[in-house]
Amino acid sequence: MTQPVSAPARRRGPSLWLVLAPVILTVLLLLSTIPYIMTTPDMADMAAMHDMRAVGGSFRLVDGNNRPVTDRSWPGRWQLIYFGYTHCPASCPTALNSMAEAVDSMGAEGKTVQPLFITVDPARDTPAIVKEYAAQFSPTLVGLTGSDAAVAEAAGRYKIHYRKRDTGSGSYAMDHSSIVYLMRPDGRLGAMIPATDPPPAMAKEIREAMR
Amino acid sequence: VRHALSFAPLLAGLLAATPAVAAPTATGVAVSGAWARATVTDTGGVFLTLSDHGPADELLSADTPIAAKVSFHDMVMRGDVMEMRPLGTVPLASGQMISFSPDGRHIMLESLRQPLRRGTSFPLVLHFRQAGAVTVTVPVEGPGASGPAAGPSTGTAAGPATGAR
Repeated sequence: MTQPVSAPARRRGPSLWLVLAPVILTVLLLLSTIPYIMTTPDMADMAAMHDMRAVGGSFRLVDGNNRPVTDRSWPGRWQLIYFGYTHCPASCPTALNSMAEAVDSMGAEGKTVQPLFITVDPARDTPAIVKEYAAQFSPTLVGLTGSDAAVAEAAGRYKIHYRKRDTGSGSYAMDHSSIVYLMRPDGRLGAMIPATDPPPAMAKEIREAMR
Repeated sequence: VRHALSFAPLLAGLLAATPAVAAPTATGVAVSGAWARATVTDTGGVFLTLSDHGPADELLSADTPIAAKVSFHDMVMRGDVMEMRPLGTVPLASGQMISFSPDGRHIMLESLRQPLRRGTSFPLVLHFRQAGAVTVTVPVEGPGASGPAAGPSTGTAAGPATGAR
């Protein structure tokens, strides 16, 4: 009439949890990594994608006044370069504004940095348009354009990929690599900076590369 | 009555001071924090937040008298390449909040009749399947602004910080 059954029955509850808890925790841990796996590659991955030594080189383009410029047009200065296009509704203004604000915030050090905007849409981005566009962000930001071939050559040297995307009714957007390059005065790559970095982070990366 | 009337200009002023915030419609979609960036070309972006306080809805289309074409796009990074993906419509689940921002989903204005000038504003009509047409006034901020000048509007979540990607 005693009920010895009850003791083992009570024990089964906790022991089941002892087995299940690690399993559940492991599953939760694995699930929690999904956002990291799914997000864009970080700079380490980008560095692997780009061979650091292979990025950069000579370019022959024109500035907003249609004057020829090359990568040697700012001797002794660092160059902060972003490839984009003036019809870009979202990513380019963010990057160019951060570049301009970062350089402005750096005081005397900033004076040794020449920010450059190079269009990947020369068909629409005439010298006059890149000039007006660049001036919106900063008087020091220089906009560059050129022939299709000249732009393709410059983009190629900087490992910038770009492609027209038809948006219907005759208009188009440009898909393009969105990354900020800091080039050393000797023409070597100094740093690759995420184009989405806010101005203080960008200034910090520039300063660190200069050290 | 006289008292009520004397408050009218104040009320009007308060309403005018919050141009980007549209009251929830009958079916409960609130549009808040709308803004655009100044442009030099005929293409621009509009950023805002939708909050569905009612049943599920769907943003079907948008239009504005200042541009020939308005479309929804998502900006997706593939490797280091920023890709523009056209979005057809934007479904809204009940209780869902969706942000349109410079680093992701955004509203693209094409064939602007003239470039967007900082300090001006324009109307944008959003067409929802359930809520119908909702008109918001969109202030134009600086070319490199990352949010509306007045800051995130109250009552709804702020737009995502830039650099989230």
